[in-house]
Amino acid sequence: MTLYAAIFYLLGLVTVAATVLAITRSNLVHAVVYLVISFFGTAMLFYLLGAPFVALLEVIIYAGAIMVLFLFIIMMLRLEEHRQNGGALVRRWLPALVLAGVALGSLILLIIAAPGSANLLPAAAASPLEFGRALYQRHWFAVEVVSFLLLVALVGALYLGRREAETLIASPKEEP
Amino acid sequence: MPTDWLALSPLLFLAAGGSVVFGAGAFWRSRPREVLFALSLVTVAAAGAAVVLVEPRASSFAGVLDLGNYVRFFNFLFLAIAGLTLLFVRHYARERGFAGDEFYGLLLFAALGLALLAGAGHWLIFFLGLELLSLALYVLIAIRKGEAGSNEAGVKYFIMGAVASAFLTFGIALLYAATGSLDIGGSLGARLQPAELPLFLAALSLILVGLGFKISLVPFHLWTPDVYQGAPAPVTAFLSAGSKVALFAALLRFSLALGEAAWNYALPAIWGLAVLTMVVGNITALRQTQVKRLLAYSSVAQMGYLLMALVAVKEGGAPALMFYLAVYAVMDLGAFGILGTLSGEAADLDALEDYQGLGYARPWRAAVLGVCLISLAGLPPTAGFMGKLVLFKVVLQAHYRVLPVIGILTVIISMFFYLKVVVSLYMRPRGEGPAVSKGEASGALAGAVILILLLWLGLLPGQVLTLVGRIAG
Repeated sequence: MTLYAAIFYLLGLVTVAATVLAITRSNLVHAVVYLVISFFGTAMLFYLLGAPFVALLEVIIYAGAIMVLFLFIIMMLRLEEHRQNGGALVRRWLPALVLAGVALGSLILLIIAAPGSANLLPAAAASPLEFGRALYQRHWFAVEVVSFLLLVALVGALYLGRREAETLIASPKEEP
Repeated sequence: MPTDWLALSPLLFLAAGGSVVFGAGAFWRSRPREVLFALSLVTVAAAGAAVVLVEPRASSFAGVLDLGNYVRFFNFLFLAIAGLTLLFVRHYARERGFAGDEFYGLLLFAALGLALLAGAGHWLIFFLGLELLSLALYVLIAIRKGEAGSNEAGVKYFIMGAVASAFLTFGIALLYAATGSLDIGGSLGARLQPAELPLFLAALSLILVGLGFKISLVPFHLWTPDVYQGAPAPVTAFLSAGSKVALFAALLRFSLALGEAAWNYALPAIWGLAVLTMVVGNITALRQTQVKRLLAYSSVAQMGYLLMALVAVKEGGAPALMFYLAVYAVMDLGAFGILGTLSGEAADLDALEDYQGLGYARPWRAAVLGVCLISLAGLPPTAGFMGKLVLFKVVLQAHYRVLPVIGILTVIISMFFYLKVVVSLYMRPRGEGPAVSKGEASGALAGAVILILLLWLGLLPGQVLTLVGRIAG
């Protein structure tokens, strides 16, 4: 087993473990922390498979922007008042620390081992240019469908999220 | 090769129409309902005309979308479903105050999702079509924001839809791992080494589970009655007719594309699911006292009959399936649509007692509902009889014995609960039920179209049967 294969399986394990923890936590903030680790692990899997641009997007958009938004919403809504049961500090932090530590450690290992070298699936390494070409030349139809999908999601979220009072004003009773 | 825009015109019309409806709602302060309704109807009619008139030059569009006659048949069916739903919903939505740009626009985009589902030649497009349809449906089901039932149904469908999507995506990923292709025909028809077979079969079963959730085959059907009951009746009509027919059309195409070895493994699974779906669907429907739940279980059972005929698809069963899908769409749409036009403003007409004597109080709509129910039960002279006849014929011709016998037994059981509603309509005096809505023009038009279609397909099915035979053959 090469170093890369070892890192690949290790990261896969970290990602799965973090995802399982994310969906089983009752504390939302904890769940989000595990989800960040899971996204981070997925990003590095993409990196290992020769798609550094996708890995970058995964970290910036999912682990970065979207998770910050999640945390923001959780804090803003103040859904729950969590009593911290003292003394369990280590037990609460340990899994997250271990998983994040393993993910970070393998990233450092990857950087030291020079991922651009010949060992790393050179045929599969896709530059942003090639990625963009594949996306907009071969899959342009799917990109168009995705844009409509997002439009529908946006309209739906807006409709369901709008306050009831406004809709009552916007749609007065129809006269017969 | 220049892009064949003309061949895509039905999809382009739907996308453009949906965007224009959204735009009109956003920029036109008064949000004119009638203009939005007319715009949606014109869009559907234009797309339908494009399906009929435009002969595509190539058999597929850039390898991602099939354009053949099979897809044109289903696209026409979807547009008919969308058009009839629009007619049924016009008055219903206006009365309940949700006839805005969101509703009509989302309905058009849902129709676009249906067309993408049935036509997809690439797994990516299939998945995106499914998500487009599902996202639009989540909101359409919960469109009555003030109603707890409607919201509950929306959330339930959302969670089940997410689970189904997860199964489907996992299946598609494994299929890609096994065959190295995301092309639907190429990946399903791939010649496999024996060592690759387990992965391939795992992928197939995950995809089947994902589709099973969406078309509510029996172990995965538990969401169906709750969602059908909670959603506004015309939306239920669209959900039940449109989304199930589109996904079954996709399932039909997958089955035809599947290689010989894998098909032999898939057959027992389909056989078992068909028996379970027919038996459990019909027997559970027996005990229902609420008409929407009864119709929901009946739609589960109808999927069972279709799945039964799927075992014969490699022996020339495709035309019968296509015919029955069209018949099913018309009769289910009719039953839920008429239920919607009968319903008073407060809640949909649901309890069986409230239907008593409607045959005399509201003779026309009760007659259409009655014909739809008789057709669902599979009695002559309606389309349902003819559809079941051709379905059972192909299964018998493919030398299955046990399966059609079980099927016919469940059909006989099903007659009891369908006729229970008909008896309630005609042979019981009118009680002190809730107010029943008055008739109006667009609903009456839709009801008349459905009545004509059911009788036409039941008495003179020759033309349509030849048509589907030519398309599939």
